Amino acid sequence: MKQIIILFFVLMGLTSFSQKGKKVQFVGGARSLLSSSELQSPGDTVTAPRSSGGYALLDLGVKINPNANTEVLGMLRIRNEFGGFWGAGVTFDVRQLHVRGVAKNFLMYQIGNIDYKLTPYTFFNHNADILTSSAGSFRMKERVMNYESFYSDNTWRQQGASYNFALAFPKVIQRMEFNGFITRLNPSNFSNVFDRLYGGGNVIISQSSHIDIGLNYVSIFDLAGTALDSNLYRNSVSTVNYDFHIQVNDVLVGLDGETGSSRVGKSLEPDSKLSDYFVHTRAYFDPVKKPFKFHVGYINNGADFRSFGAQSKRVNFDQPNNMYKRFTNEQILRPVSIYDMYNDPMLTNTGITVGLMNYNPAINNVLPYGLATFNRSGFYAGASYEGKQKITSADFKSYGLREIRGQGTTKKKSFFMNNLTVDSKLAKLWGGKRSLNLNLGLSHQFTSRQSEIDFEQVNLQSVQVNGGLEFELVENLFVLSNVFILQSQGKDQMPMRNAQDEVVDFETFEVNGQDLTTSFGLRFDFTEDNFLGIFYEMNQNNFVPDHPYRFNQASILYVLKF
Amino acid sequence: MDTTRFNPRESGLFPKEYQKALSNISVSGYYRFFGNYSNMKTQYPEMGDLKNRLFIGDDSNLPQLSLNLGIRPSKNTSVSTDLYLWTPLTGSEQDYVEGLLLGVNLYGNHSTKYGNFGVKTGGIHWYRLSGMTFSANTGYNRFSMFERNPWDPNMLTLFDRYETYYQNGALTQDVRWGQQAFQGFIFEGADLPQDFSVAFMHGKSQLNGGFSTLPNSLTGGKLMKNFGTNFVSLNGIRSQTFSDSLASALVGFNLLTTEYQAEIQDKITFSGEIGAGNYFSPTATGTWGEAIDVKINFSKELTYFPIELRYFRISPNVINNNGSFWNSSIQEYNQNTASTDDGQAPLLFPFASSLTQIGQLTNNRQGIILNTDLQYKRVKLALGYSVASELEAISDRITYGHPANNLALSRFWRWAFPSNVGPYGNISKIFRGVYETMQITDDITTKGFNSIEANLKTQMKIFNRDLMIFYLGGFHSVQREVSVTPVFNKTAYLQSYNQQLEFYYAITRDVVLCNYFGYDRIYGGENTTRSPSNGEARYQIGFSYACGLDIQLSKNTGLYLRQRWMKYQDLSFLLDRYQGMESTVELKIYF
Repeated sequence: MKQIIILFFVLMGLTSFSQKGKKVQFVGGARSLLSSSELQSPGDTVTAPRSSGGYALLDLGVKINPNANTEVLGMLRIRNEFGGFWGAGVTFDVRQLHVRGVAKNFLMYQIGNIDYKLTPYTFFNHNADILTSSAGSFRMKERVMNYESFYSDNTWRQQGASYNFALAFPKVIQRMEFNGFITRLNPSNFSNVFDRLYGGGNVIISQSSHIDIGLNYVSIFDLAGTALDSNLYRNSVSTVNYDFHIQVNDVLVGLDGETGSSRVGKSLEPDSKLSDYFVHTRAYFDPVKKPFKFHVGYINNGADFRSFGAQSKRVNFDQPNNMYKRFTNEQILRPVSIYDMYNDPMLTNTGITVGLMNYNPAINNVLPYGLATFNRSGFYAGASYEGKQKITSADFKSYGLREIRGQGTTKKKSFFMNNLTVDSKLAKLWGGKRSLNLNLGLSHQFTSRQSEIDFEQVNLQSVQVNGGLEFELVENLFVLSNVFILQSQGKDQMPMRNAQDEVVDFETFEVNGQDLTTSFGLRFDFTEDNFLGIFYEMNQNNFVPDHPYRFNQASILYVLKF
Repeated sequence: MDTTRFNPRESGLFPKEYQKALSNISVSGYYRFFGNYSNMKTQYPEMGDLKNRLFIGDDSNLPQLSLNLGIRPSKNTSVSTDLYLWTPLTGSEQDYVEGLLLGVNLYGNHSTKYGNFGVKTGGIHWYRLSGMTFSANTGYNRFSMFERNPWDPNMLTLFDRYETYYQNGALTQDVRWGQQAFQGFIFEGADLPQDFSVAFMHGKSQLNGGFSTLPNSLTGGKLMKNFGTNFVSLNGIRSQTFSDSLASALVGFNLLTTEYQAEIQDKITFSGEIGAGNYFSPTATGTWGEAIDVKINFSKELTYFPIELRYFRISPNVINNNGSFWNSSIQEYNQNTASTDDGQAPLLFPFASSLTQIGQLTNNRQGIILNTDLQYKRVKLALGYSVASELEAISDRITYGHPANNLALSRFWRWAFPSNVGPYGNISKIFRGVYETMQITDDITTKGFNSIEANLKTQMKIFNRDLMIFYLGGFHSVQREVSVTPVFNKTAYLQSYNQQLEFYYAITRDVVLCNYFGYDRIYGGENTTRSPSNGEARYQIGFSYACGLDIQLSKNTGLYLRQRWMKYQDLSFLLDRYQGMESTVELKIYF
């Protein structure tokens, strides 16, 4: 029999887990942060206005390669709090532990910590709350936040196992790739909480270099028999995604998208089960020799579409702030601001949350769960630009969406969002040796529902502007400046949900505030990944009625990676 | 930013590309086993009836195993940390301590045509700014060699330790010598144009330690200009914290100085530090005062034997427990800033009018110090003389130490650093030592302090083996007024005489026999607290004999055995007495 199938694993650029045959290698990073802050809250005589803190940490990963096809990686985090002398304030944690390898030169596996994603509607880490590109001190902080929370390539950090292998064919289709995973979201308490697992995978069929089709399935499910209960939870999602493209006369034309359905519910509660479907398709045009690209798309995400592997949010808005958690003489909780989102890694989610997480309509009311946001239908269009000299690149996207099902009424909300990012390397204009970079990010959102009835009236508008300037003073030393503004004004009716995510009531969300951050500082790049930043930030926030506050912070941040 | 991308190939396990890794990290460190057994015939009543103590370990978590890890992510950045493990060998497998002593330290440097720049952040860095602003006192190297410090290095041969002390008057010290622990951010610029250099530091010293979020910080800086081997620098330091929870009551100090060194034709060297400082708090006026410490060194080419003449004057308004002088004037500062968190205990320095070794300066004092080194054949004699007086009459207490049994006595109280302990509540423990506080009973004056110290060193051969003999003597008095010579009668508040004699005999290249005799006598004056039992002033006699062996087990591995018999009694304050013996075993291996 002729060998018509070739088995192999897919991991780009990887021929061996070991560098130059080394059995033991080291990976990780180190970071120190020193900050001093001041909160100015008019009339507040209770909150201590000044605070300081910091830490230094080392993530030391030992990568062991018993052979060329196997890798064991254990990473220890050593952290000492600023102010701890002679061993005080030191903690040790395990940050990462996995084994991975290739069996029989075709099956790749990884067990332990895995960074994983499938598609935007099944298993995906959307960055739904940062709508503009970060600049200045925010960019440095975003790098830290992403590292701390394991956010990379839109993956979620999971604990479990995964495999990958592929088949190559001589005819009809080029190859089929198989990905599978199983992870545990929470353990059993041996009473009323089941072991909850998350599993699934996909088959990717590449017919040619022009056609890729993926068949995807994921499921969050309770493992029967692991608790003294028989009411099993399941959220399963099946989708097909695709990318067809062809180049005609220097124009790359393509069609991609994803469509599928979801089901969620408990086995003994048939009334609570929800199922729905979604359709998302996009056409794109890329004149290869021109600096512009265009795309238009259509979204129809059903009102009951639930896919918590893709709808989990990065920011947990229910988590109280660590910095100045309470303020005012009444010591009210200080709500999470956009500045806090960059400042406090404890606010971010490091795993999948089963159930709908709360969001802040002032920050993102249009697609609060990213592309996987349910109950949205409509169109969007976008264009991007990158000149030959790469002096300026820009990206623009505009959404016009509408609810599929009215919330508390038959009337439906309309959503509009425009996003623009511009990056300019201005020094290239005059051939300067020192770089001068300008970053601009704009996001405008508008939510409306017209009615004579007060409850049905919705009119919420938010604008985010993020501008940054970066000038290379001397080689590798940059002067940074950044302005970030979030303005939101208007009213919406937000659903209140019970523990089963059922809408039980609505509450009026009214806002008229501004969050303004201005920062300036210095950054020295020892290498691309190793930098020292010294910066000062001034944040003003008046989103809490009658309790505006100012927050100033000076920080020294040193980041090393190896 | 969100993305719209549906290519099925963008799925699965990430990252999909090989991640670079370092092939090497450096590992060094030491293992130090330290065991201590004591048997007391007589001890302080607070110690109870348990007279035998077995203890594995040393003070303040000085670890058994210390691992220094060094990582270089790139050619100009590095990170280091020091893991330690310590077990008191109690028989329990769970009874151990792991941690970091210095923490996680990050470094970076960058060379340009304008100079070399470096940053240090993270954990504890040993650092010196200038003598008065941020440093540890190095003194005149008049100390006993018999008791080994935890940080003493292993030398190439055992006898090198004593040979070095004989030759140089000092041990080869580790990186911490003369430096203070600092945590935070340090920026340094060296080899700048016109031979300038700069330094800036912001963070915490030990006295600012703790985890309160209320700001409690130390900020300092230095601008220095070199002229060949000479220099002049401007130095400044500011420590500040808040004494209330709303961070409105500021407490701290400022100190600005200039440090200099000017050598003239290798014959006369002028050096020193001059500045001004103040202390501020809601109850203090913040008045500035002067700080002067100047020296003139005459080389032996000029005066046949080297002479150092030193004058110091430090106002009571100048405080800085991070510098080379002690604070003896403002009690509030010590109380406000002394953290009580576990592991945070700062090295408390004696408050009140302290009787110090020559070279250890305190504020609220001025004085003159004379030092010289004489040599006749193989006999070396270092002599020191000081006369000092207080600037303001502030304290009705005098603090002093007990040299003969100082270290052994500090081991009576393990782990913590208690104050006002002992049978009369007048003993306070500091790091590897104790001091005693004595009350004066007449009116407060600007007290006078006199000291004479002699350090004699000689070497010879007996049976063709090396023998070193070191003698250390101190004669001190504290009296009501300034005096040119020590006052050796009862009008002095305090007379302290101590003698320490040591022999080191190299039995073989790998075995050294060590002997130690220590004797001190301390008299309280007629205007000091009297004993409740017999109405007499202090009359304290301390004696110690000890012997030991240094044994080189192999390269970098030394075994150090010490046996001490000690006896101490106050013939007036009858409860203040102890007698017993102490054995210590130290095994130290560097790698």
